[in-house]
Amino acid sequence: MESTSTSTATISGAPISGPQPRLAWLGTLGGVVLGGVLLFAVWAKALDPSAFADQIRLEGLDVLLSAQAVALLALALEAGLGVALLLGVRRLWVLIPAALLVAFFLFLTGRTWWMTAHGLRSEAESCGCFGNLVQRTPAEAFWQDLLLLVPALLLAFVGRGGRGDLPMRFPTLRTAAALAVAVGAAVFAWKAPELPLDNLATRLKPGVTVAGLCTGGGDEPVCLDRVAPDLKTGSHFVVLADLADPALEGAVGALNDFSNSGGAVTVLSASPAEAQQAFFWRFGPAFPIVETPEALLRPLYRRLPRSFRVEDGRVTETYPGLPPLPNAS
Amino acid sequence: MTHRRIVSGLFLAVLLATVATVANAATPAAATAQPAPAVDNVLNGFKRTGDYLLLVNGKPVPAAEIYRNDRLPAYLILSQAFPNVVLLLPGTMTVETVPAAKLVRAKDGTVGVAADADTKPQGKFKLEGDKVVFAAEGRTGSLGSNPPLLGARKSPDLKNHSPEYITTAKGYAPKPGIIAALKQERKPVRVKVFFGSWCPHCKEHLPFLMRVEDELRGSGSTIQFEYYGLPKGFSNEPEAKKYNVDGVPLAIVFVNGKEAGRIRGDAPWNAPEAALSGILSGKAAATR
Repeated sequence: MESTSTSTATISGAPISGPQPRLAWLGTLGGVVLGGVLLFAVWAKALDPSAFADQIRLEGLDVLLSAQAVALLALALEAGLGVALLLGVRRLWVLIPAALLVAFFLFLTGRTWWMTAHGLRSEAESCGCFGNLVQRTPAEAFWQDLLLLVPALLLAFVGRGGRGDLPMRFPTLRTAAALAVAVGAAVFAWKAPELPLDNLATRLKPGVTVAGLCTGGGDEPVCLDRVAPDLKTGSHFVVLADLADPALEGAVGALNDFSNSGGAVTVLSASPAEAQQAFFWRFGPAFPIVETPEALLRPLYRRLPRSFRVEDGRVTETYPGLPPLPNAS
Repeated sequence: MTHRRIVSGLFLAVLLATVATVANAATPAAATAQPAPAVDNVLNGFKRTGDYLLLVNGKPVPAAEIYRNDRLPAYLILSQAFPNVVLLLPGTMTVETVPAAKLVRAKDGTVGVAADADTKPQGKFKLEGDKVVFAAEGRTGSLGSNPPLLGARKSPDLKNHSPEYITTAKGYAPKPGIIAALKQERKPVRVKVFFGSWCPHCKEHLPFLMRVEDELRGSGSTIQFEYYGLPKGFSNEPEAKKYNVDGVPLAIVFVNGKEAGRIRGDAPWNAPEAALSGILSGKAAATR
């Protein structure tokens, strides 16, 4: 027994009637899921485009254009495809680039997994395709991408057919919406670093514990409470900083005054030991500077310096720039 | 006869006590402690450190004592290569000297400068690569990073390399009951400790275990301690690979030549005698 449903759809403002393929709903569902995943990934990366650019540099994808430009273009493409799929556009001009994008993501995550498994890359260097917002090991990144993206992509091909699904058709409104979101995503990513979204864009936000800020997976993650054990108890101001940053150099006096008046200040920096030593002799900090793995530090900020307050191991406040020290004004 | 002996003994004791009293009265300085000189209220609390090595004419001077004050911050250098104590002040990058006689040693092992000491400016120090180069009283010296302690070592090697281990070990009080039990241990136990002299966690925790070793020394306990220094980035170091060392400090406990457990992580290292006792009694799970 064959059941054929007849429906009326509005595409490009013109009603198109015709028999819908039997499993069209499955294809639409696949497209919606794939579009949703792509849009979530865009959101996560657009909040901190410089971290995404770092990832592009790491993967060697900044050959023709700068990493920042590649990041903006990639976000625009991903956003456009995501919206088109979400709106039910399952033409080949959407599905083929989406398939290529999925294949590319899987290639990247698979290659990273292989490289880390063979000791060619540090596990913590790789964040996967969700930027810094989501913490995943390389193996998790590969398998999650595979399981989230591939079934949805395959389903999106199911149930295509009928006049409305002919190749190379551009439904005006939905295409325009996809283009608008693509441009919007690029503009948002471009301006995002200036927006007060640090708590949203990074893993460092009020309420998290220093024991919960970790990098690396498996049984032995490297967590902030291990790198800076003093933060587990008492009240501290913590500054995430680049030791070559003139802003930090200029603040040493105020930080020293605060430290010498009984306050606790700790600077976390990914600068190597040699740079820390040079900073110590040149500027004479009276507060500890703790060498922190880049992979642990990078997901905690969008721009340096960034600061936070810790009370008994729990983050209570975050600040863009240097902390508001009581006696520093 | 016995009575005469007792009287003679008493007479001798009284005579000795009288002589001692007279001698003490004649040399009061020897009998009573000199009042400690007043210490400068800024230049005090310097702690011995093994972070740096003094070089004079490019040659290391391992006998030099180097002290650090984190609060100022500042360094004091005591060495026969310099007639007086050298004071290095990061931040202003200045060098000063303090008369050697004006150095005050506190009971807790820290040093300071006497309040009435005059410091003499000696100019500025320079940073050349990873070295701090300074000139004082016509002689040139430099502070360079102390190379890491590598390979199989014993406790005194660690204390010589990183004198701060001594202070931390002295300040640690292991639980007496557990130490008493460990002293009774008669099985052949070997504790192989992997560490990095460059590692801050080792600096914090390793002295606790060294104190435990000090407590057990000479007690007849069969627990033997050996230390193995690893370089930074030790994942390919053969000994680290052989024992699957993925972080330091790490102590592997062998009983009768077989691994019985590992001491790793903050909590066990905060009381290593308890962790060791737990492994030996089979109460602590052998973690790998």
